[in-house]
Amino acid sequence: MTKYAYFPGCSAHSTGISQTISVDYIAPRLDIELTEIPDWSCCGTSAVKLTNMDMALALPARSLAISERELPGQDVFAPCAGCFQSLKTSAEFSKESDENLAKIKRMIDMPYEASVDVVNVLDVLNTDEAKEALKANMKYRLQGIKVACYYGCALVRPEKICDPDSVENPQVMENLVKIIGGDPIDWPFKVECCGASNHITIPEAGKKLSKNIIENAVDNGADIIVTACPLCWMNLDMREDEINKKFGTNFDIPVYYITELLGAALGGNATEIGLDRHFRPAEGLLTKLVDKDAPLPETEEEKKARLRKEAAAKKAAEKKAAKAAEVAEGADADADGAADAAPATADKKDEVKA
Amino acid sequence: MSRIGVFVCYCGSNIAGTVDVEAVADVARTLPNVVYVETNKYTCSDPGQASIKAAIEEHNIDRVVMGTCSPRMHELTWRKLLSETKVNPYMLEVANLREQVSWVHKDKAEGTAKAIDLIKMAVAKVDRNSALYSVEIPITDRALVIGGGIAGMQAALDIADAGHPVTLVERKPSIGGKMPQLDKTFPTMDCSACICTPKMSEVGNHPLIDVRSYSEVESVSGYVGNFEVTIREKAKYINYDSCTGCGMCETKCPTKVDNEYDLGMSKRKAIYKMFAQAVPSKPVIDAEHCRMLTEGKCGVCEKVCPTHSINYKDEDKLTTETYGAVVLATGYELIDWGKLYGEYGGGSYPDVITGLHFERIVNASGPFEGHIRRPSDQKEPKSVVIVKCVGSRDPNKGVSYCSRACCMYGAKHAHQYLDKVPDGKCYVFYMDVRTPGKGYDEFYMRTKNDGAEYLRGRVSKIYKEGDHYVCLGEDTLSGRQVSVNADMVVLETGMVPAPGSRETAMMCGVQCDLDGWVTEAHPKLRPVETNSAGVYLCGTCQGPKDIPDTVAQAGAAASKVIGLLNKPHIESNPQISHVDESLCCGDGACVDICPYGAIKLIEKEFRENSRKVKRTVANVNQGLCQGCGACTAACRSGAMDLLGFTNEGIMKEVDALCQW
Amino acid sequence: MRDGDVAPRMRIRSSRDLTGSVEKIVEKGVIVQADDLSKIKDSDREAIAELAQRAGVNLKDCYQCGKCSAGCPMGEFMDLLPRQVIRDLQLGFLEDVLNAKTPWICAGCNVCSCRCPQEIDVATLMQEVRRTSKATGHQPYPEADKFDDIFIGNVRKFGTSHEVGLAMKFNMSSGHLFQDVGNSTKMLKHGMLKKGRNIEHIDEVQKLMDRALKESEEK
Repeated sequence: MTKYAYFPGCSAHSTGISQTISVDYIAPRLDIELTEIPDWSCCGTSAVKLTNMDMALALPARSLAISERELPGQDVFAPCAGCFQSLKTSAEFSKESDENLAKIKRMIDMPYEASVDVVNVLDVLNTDEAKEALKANMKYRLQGIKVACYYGCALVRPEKICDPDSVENPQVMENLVKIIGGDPIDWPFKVECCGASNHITIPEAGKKLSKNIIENAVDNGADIIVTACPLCWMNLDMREDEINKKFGTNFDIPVYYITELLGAALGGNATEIGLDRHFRPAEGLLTKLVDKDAPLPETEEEKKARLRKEAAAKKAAEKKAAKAAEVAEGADADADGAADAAPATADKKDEVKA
Repeated sequence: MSRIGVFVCYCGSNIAGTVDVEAVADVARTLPNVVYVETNKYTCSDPGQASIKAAIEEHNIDRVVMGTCSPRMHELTWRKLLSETKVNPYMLEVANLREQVSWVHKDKAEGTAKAIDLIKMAVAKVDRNSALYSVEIPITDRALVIGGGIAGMQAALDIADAGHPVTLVERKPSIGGKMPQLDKTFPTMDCSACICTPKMSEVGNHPLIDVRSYSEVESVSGYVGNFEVTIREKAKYINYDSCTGCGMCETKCPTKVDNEYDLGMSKRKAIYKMFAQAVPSKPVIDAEHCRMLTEGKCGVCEKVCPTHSINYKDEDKLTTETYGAVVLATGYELIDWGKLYGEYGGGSYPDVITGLHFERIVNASGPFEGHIRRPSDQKEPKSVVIVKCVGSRDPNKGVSYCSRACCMYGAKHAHQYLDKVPDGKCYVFYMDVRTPGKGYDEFYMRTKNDGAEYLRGRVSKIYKEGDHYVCLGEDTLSGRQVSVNADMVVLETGMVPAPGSRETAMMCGVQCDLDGWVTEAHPKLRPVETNSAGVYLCGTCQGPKDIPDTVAQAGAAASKVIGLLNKPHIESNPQISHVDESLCCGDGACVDICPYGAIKLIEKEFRENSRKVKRTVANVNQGLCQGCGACTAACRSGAMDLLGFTNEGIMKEVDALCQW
Repeated sequence: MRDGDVAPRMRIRSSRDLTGSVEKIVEKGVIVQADDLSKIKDSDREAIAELAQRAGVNLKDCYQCGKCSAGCPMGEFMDLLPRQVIRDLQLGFLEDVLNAKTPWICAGCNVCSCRCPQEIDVATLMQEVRRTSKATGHQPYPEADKFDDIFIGNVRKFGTSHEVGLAMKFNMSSGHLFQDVGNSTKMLKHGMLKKGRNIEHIDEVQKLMDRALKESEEK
């Protein structure tokens, strides 16, 4: 059982509600225990960071200090990418030097040793334990679904804070999608910015950026898009209709959280994993699931081999039939001869009989 | 009793301006064992030197102190002067009154006082000096050149043409290096192979050059004039004495492998000649892919060979020989950009290629016979983007230095593309355009006139869209973000040292810098020598450069080698470490600390206390020792001392300074 | 115009800005003149040095290669490209930079910092310019500023951001009254527009924010 101190963040019960619901569903099934940090407060991202850096370092430290006190030894798990970055930046700042830690403590006026590590959704799902539990507990599999895994910015950059497996071509979500039977596509926009909060301050800019991402995913053959950040999810899902209206496109591609996908594989229904809260109809995913042990679809190689076999069998059968026909002809010829002869004998027989 | 002569120089007003030379001379006269003191306006001049000689003769001087300029300036002059008298050239001390006194002090009183101190120290030291004698080190008349590219070949030719035997070691099956792979060379657009292959041929046919292809240097020991080198000739599986190079084996071989010469854009056989003009013009068998050598099947080449030259039982051969000089010419390779630049596709896009790929594509002997085609679908690209500085000038992900040749060959590629695809569009993304050679800037200007669109700015991302690629950049000169659709992208990637060059350099006792380039003795004044006597370097192993500079450097290195090999022997530096074997305890601390590998422990027989004993003692190689003195500091028993800078001598200097 | 006067300067970022420049000069009296580098104030240079230091950036490292601007997703909406912001800071044009909309348009996606060959943290520098711009009373992009103020006001009042309140207040104060109205009904249906959380120890948060502000002032 891996335990995490849970920092929901403000989006957890608004734009990120589906992620929250699906995280709650999959956690016990992946051998993960989440305990909400009591009385957690704002992580200090976004506007705070853009107004005052000291505040941006101090606010998250409060929740980290509470976590250290109430849930010692547990890493802090922040499902929102923005919260994750803010919490981790503050944690790393405090760890850098005694002077930094002293400054933070001065501002939060609480006991704090900067002993806490901060993790994001990908870190939590990417552990060996979680993946083993997923393999063991999954009930269903995706079949024949092409998945565009979209990471956005805040889960991979800045490199020092996020420490991704690769900053231009991460594969964490792809590996999880493969485990549950999906077919992740190769596409170049997986770490491009969705526009973030520019969708509110400069809507035209936000829509353009999100449109580029959806377009690139669709052009590269995606059936669905998968994200791990509530703001990205909202910008791609909620705004898809607006994008269609503005650019005259007709995208019709559902956007999921990676946690929802895993939840579906683990057997959750639409409500249990939050699929009923999307803007773009998303429940169709559940109809595309097959049993975990159902036979895998044919690969190209297997198909070719089967067709070759069938063709060869057909040829053999034709050959056999031709030969049989030959023999039959010969037999017929004899038979005809015999038949010609037969009536004679038959007649004779009849004559005899008669 | 010493008879010391002190000669203090005015150096015009150079010393005299800040030092009261006569006052210094007066003090010198009072120092112990000083029998003669003279001042001189220009000591180094002919009359000055004549005066010194006369004084030595007249006053029976047996050791000399010069109060003059830096030893780096004239120590050799004074030694030469003394060698023409009866005084041993090492009974000399130079007090540097110019660079260390008059050039760094303004106050005459201060300067004079310091000058007097330095003279006192010099007098005290020279009093303890002993005569030193050089030893003759024989020079083996044979040179080793490591690396068979244009640098190595040119050096080998120059040395051999001067009448000295050369062994040229090249690890690929053929000499030639990168040059034959290139199509045309800037700025004259000479066909690269056409100017390189005659040199290859000359090297191959030269009576004094022994080409060891498919071979590597295994170990190097020894010192200048006497390098003992072991060379490993890898198994070729073909008897080169009987093989005629007819090529029958290659035509019949069933195994196809990616051809490294075409950077994987074509196939070769398991038994193969690197390229048509290879020297030696004979094949080798690729042991990793040959079916006979890996599985025991096939054997077709043996069956068809008309001279029965195939030998599957061949093994690596080791030979050891002695060489007088070694030239490092190990060359470069292009940086592995795929690992570093995920934003350019990380190497997964077949049409995002390097400059060397483009050379093979545009080359008539390349995979597409000189037609510009892109690797993925062999279609002619109608729009090509060239990105310069990929990996270079990038301290974050690549190397920090500029790779020097890419601005010119980037322009060359643009020119060649537009020449062959007249209706094509060519864009070049650059940070700067560096064209410092003869005709270079004119070549770049002409390329722009051909229609190459130069955009100043680095490319942030290259991605695939449908069947073309999109390059996102900025043209900083107009301040516009730009995106360009390209059918093919050519990345002009940075140069890095060839793999294994650091290890080879270290084998020869030579250092490399942080980027792996071999370090020269002095970046400005000694560009082809190293800090190891007898080891020279040339070409790109020293740093990125183009072909003209490489050939010039190769000639320079050759001239140094010729200068060395022309002497039957050289004189060793006698100011080296000396072991007092009666004190040496054989603990080997000196062996470990010596940066030149000049000390080794030997077993020696002594007669002590009327008995014969065998003891381990240190032994200094007079050719390798450079007189750095580290061993004297490390020696715990005090057995090691540095001739010319003895412990006693130095302590006497300290004493002289501290007594006021 | 006398020497030393600061004219309202027309920012020419790219060739396309020049369209209509003659009219702008003649009609609106905007003066475009050569920038006299000897007139750049020492106090401006010092302020820039301090700003760069706060951001942890060495401006001299930038050799203006343009890779940051090339990859910037918000570039087309900016008046100065990220590279030009650094160039102006290098040359000493502090006011132009503090008046630029660019830092307020930056999405903080970090592509610039990630790909910069000289390892310059362009994103942090941009944030520092934005913070400095606000702190010194510049208002180049009031809407973004309003958004930030409302956000922080909510944190002070509730301890966390209130997405509903934020969106509503922003719409009202920015005049985009009907932005996301359609979406909000859907959000309501999906249970995304909850009342919002009030934390227990709100006083702790408020005191923390005060101390943080004080810490910044004392620098």
